[in-house]
Amino acid sequence: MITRTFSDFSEAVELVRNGAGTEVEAVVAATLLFDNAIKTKIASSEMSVYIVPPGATFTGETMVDGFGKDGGERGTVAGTMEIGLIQRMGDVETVLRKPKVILERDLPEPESG
Amino acid sequence: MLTRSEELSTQLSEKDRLLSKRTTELSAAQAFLTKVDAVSEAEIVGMVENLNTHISSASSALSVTLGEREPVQGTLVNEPDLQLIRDYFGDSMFEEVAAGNPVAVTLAIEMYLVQFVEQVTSGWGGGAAAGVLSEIYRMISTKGEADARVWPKLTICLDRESGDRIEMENAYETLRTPSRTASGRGDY
Repeated sequence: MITRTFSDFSEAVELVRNGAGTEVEAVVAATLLFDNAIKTKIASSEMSVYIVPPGATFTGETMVDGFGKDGGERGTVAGTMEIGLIQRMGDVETVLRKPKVILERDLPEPESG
Repeated sequence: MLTRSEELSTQLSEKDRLLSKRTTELSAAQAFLTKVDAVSEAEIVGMVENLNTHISSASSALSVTLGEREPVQGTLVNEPDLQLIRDYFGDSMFEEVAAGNPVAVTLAIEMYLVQFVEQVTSGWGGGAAAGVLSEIYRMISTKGEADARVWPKLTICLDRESGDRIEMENAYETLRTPSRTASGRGDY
């Protein structure tokens, strides 16, 4: 089991703030900017984040195999590493940006010993 | 002396000129009225690319930061919480992280940030207005483009204080009335 020692929650927060605070803040800022855009600046269609849940079957039409050979083989999605974008106009859905996923078979092997 | 016919002809020419001018003005206004989006599709895609870049940087930084700590034996998380984490990441990713694979840890953090973005952007916030906004958006998307023009104006209220609540409620009531579009649907 991988765990890290923290005396309390505030110590963990402080560590993250010092070590990656700028990067995390950038993610939050970019998220809010994007959120505002799709909810207040776009009205002709509905746009939303498109991610693939773990356990889904890979399909090249709607997602990108970001870590494997992407040879059209079927596989099980372990997780989404880059968000995609989907547009809905009435009943029509269009993937404007495919999410990048990693398949279970491409997960790094556990370290021995 | 101008004949009656010449007088009428002059008046007609003047009205023709005025009509032509007003038609041009209306055409320009129509172009403005039908432009419902304040940002382009390409700009939205660009925001997504930018977001993914930041997610990648943050997951690397977080992984390095957390990796500086010495691992200890045992677990600091109780079983119900562990199950929640397993459900969140899926069995295969969870097992890799639990095995202590540093690459898997980085991937898991990246995956977490991706899901964070999805959760934030899929809702309308936790405030009292969330339910109303969700319902309004549903009605707008059902009614089509004609009423979609209301949306940008409506959401301006989000950036203001409660003084504009009445305007928001008025817009809400307007949308509740039967549609004037060809479909004539009023079953909301």
